[in-house]
Amino acid sequence: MIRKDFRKNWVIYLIALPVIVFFAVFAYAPMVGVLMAFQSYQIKGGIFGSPWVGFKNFLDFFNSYYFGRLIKNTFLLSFYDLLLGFPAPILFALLMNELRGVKYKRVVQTITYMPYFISVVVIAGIIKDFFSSSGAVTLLLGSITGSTSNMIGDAANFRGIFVGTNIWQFLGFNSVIYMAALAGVDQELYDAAALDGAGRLGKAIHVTLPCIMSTIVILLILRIGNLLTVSFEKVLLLYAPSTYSVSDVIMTFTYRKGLQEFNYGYSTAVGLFNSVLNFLMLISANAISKKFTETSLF
Amino acid sequence: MKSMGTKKFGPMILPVIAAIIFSLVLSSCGNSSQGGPTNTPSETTPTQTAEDTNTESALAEPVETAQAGPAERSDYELPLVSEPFTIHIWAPTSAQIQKTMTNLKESYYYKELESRTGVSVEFTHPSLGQELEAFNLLISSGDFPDILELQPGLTYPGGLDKGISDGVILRLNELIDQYAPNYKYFLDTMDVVAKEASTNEGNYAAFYSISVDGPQPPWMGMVVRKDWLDDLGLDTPATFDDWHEMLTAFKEQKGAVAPMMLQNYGYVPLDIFHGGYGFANSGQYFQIDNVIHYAPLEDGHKEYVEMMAQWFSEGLIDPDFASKSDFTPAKDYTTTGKTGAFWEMYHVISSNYDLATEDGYELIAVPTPSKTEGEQLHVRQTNTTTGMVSWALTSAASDPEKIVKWIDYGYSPEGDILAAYGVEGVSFEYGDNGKPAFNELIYQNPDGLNLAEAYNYYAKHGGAVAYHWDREYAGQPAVNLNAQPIWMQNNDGAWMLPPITLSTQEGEEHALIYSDIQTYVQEMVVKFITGQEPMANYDQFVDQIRSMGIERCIEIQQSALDRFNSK
Repeated sequence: MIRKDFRKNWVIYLIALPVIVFFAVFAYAPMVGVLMAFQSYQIKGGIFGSPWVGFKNFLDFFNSYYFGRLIKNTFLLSFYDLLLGFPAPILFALLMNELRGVKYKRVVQTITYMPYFISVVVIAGIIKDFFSSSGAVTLLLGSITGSTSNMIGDAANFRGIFVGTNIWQFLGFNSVIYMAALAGVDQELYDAAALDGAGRLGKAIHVTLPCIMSTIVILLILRIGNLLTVSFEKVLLLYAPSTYSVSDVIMTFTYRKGLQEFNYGYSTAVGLFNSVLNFLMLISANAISKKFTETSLF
Repeated sequence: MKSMGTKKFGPMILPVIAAIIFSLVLSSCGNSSQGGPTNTPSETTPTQTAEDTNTESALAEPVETAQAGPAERSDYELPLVSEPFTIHIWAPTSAQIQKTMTNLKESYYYKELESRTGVSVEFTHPSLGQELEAFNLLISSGDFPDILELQPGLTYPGGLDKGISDGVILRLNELIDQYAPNYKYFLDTMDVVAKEASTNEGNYAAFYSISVDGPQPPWMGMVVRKDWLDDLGLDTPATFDDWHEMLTAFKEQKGAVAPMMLQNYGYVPLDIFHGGYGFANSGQYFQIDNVIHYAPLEDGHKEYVEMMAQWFSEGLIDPDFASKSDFTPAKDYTTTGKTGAFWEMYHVISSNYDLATEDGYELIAVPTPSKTEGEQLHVRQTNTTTGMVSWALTSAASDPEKIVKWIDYGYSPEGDILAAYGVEGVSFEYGDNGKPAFNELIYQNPDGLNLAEAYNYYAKHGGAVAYHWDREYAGQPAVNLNAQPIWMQNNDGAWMLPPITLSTQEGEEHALIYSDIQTYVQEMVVKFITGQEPMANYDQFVDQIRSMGIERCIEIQQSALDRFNSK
């Protein structure tokens, strides 16, 4: 059967080959590294020469003083990011869709994309500067609240600043997918809705949203599958001892263990734990979505 | 409606998913790379890295310092080789180097060295900020150069003894005996060098740079605005009370928004400010009469934190310190009147003058403050006799004998001068006192190189050298030259830890306990200072550190210190 298909469609198989090789080399081969989680990894011995320690690395992590806090911080930071950061590009795309001036639309789009292309190192520098005691944002808010103390160094503000700036960074770029979906909406549906007496809002709610709903759901599922993977570089660049209590997340902990203390096995175990949680969440989100919306990844 | 949704957009969704998955894969690959300068939360010192325990072989092969070596250093017959010979070196560089050269071999020094010795070099430089990652990749790749330049934090994981037993790093004891008479001269004549440059097991694993005139005086310390002191009629502050008075005046009469700068851990780095309270923490631990102490458990530490909390609440400390991790404070603070008291490297003090936005701007180095006037203190920035930079030979070294001779040439009288000063008549002249001194080519470089760039082009950058720290003194303005004696005048730095090393086992156990403690301490100290945590809870804080197992950490460090002292 396959042989027959192959003979008939060999060109298509050939086209698919680079993709298969790509995933084999860059996505599947590195998975062997997961074995390090069960080893006391030595650079010289490598994965096949290091002694096995069973679940010791996992137990060390579960018994670590900060285990509970790491989980909580990671989850909350991602959760707020999802709660506020996920709907923002959808709303933005809907608003852009209502704009009729093409030039104005382009200018707005370009400006909102921009932050996405700035290196996260620069972004972090900008954020630190704007939220310092003499920073633009601090002074602006200070004129209302009356307090101009440093904001980014205060644990109470960290999550807000992190999520808020994330929205600013990704709003334009993430809305591209929705815009593409919006462009595919059949114009006839709008005309029909107009005949039925729908205004702009009515059209947005009854035509546009349902049409892009499957895109939204798919992206939401993917996003949930990544819930415990916060943008690690940004946290690393923004956090400081004064904000550890809310900003120290699983990935930064892994970084300190792996790259600063050379504790590769331990670090991998923590990373693997994180991935397993992500995977479970992806599966459950997918199952829930399948049940209620008939849209699912697999 | 639903069916419309899935049916109509089905074909369009697929490429979108593919695009997303693709981008996820890309981003997850990106995550594994370590990006740019980072706010590293741990201050691991080079000396804290673990080493292998195999004390039996240490007994079997003791360091051969007792053996009589040559009494004098001797010059080589040049060239060293008759056939062309190339040495491959992996070495980190700096932003300064990369401004002037893409590869260190282009420097005047290495060209001259090649014409003298006949040996050419080929450097591999990791990208700036990616050194650690590049180093680890290099080690795990198994594809080694002849020489690895090791630095603090850039050393064989598990320690150099482990590097030797893993067959990656060459044991140099015999090679030094046979082919490196000049390096051996320093090992034989300077006990401290033999101690610092050998491993727990008595191996010589690398050629260290050696401060031939003894350890360098402190290169970083506190400075204050001299013109403000004069305006306000204040003397140089000596005690913490003097400092309080001075900072208050800076704030109230000079309008400084951050009268004194501080780093995000709540200390001035490298123990250069809090010595008067009798604790040190830049090396995590310190020692008094060879007994290990841990700063947060000390009474002096509590007093320090209490004082800083008080000063912070009075607005005497930089309000943004909690989010600042600069090695030295940013120039837009130090030169603009935003701050009046900060820390600086001695040879950089005067460079603030060029950027100053206020007339009459003047700085002065000040001694470590003490609790009462005239105390002798023991905690400051100190240096070891063997510099932290060293060159190790790898098992891939093509011809160890030639390479060792070539390195040893750098410790010979002639090679030493070439490495430190360059070529006579080009970059230096002999002064009336018979000592070499750089000339205008270095100080007023016609090609526009600044001082550091000129040093690194005409003389040797880093690596294994006989180091003359006083070569930098000529041409320095008085404010820079006066700083080091001031920082030393009431402070001998005797409580700082020597470069001790842990065994692999000790290292693993220590890291497991200590990393949580470190996070806890860093976080709490800042909270005490900013007032988020009341000082009344300080004793609970100490109890918590004890319950997390600090005593065991201290035990481990103590045994490492005992081992070092008995070397």
